[in-house]
Amino acid sequence: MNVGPGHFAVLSAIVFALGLYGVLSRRNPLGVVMSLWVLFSAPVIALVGFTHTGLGGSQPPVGDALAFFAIVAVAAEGGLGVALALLLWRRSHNADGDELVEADV
Amino acid sequence: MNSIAFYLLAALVVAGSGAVVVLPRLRDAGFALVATAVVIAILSAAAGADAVAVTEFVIVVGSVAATWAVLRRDSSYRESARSSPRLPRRSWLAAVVAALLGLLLLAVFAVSSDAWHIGSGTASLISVLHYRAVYAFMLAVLLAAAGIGGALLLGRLSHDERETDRAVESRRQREERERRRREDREAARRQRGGPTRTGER
Repeated sequence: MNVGPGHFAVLSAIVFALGLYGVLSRRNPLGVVMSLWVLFSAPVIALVGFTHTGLGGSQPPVGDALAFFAIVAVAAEGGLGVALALLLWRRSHNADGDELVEADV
Repeated sequence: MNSIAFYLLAALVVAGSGAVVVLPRLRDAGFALVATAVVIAILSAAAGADAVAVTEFVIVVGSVAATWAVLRRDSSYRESARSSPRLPRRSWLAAVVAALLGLLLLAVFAVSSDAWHIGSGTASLISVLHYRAVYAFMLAVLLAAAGIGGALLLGRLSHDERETDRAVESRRQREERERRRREDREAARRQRGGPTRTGER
């Protein structure tokens, strides 16, 4: 059986759902950032799958360019997220995101 | 792509993603994240997207390594990674929301699947980025620069914070020295057989 775009779509949706669950359920800000990494990996999987397991042709790999863009966005988001989490930790010494919402930092 | 290899890699990706999300110790979750990124890179390479695989591997592993180095450098940061509060009681609600959005994503993929069959390319990713998507490439570079700049700006320590950290550290060391001195005195008294501070002989 050949692997088609549908396989990658299912995998991407599962990874997306897992990442979203982590973002919603994790309470440590660093844990939320790591879950966001997982969440943003989903479009990379989908784009790579759709680009490389399609019907075949001579079009340039625009999907790869979008995947590249998504990876860079993940890196920027991850760097900012970690810096923000460490800043909050320095100010409040609290690793609970729920409490940070109400804290005066 | 070989279907057995795909299913194997897909199972590893799902298991790794689940571990990142569920593991209570953030250090373990970080290792799981690196492993997941490596498996996704292998999956991309197996699908034929070599440049994406290399980018994914370098950026994710480099970012996690940099974060780990920052957490190791400062002892006060280590505590932030160690203390990971338990999951909230309503985590099942998060699971339901995540599952529903995952299903929605699947439905969108199913409806628009025909539009995505653009085929594997002959031109390399670099040429596409350089000649055909130059604005997107520039935007990506700007985004990366803004992300790194913002992270450095947020992560820098002000003069006051440095002074406070130094004062806290020297106070901790002083208290540690005093505690050791007290324990040594107690031990010496006990050896001599004299009365200890706690009244024991």
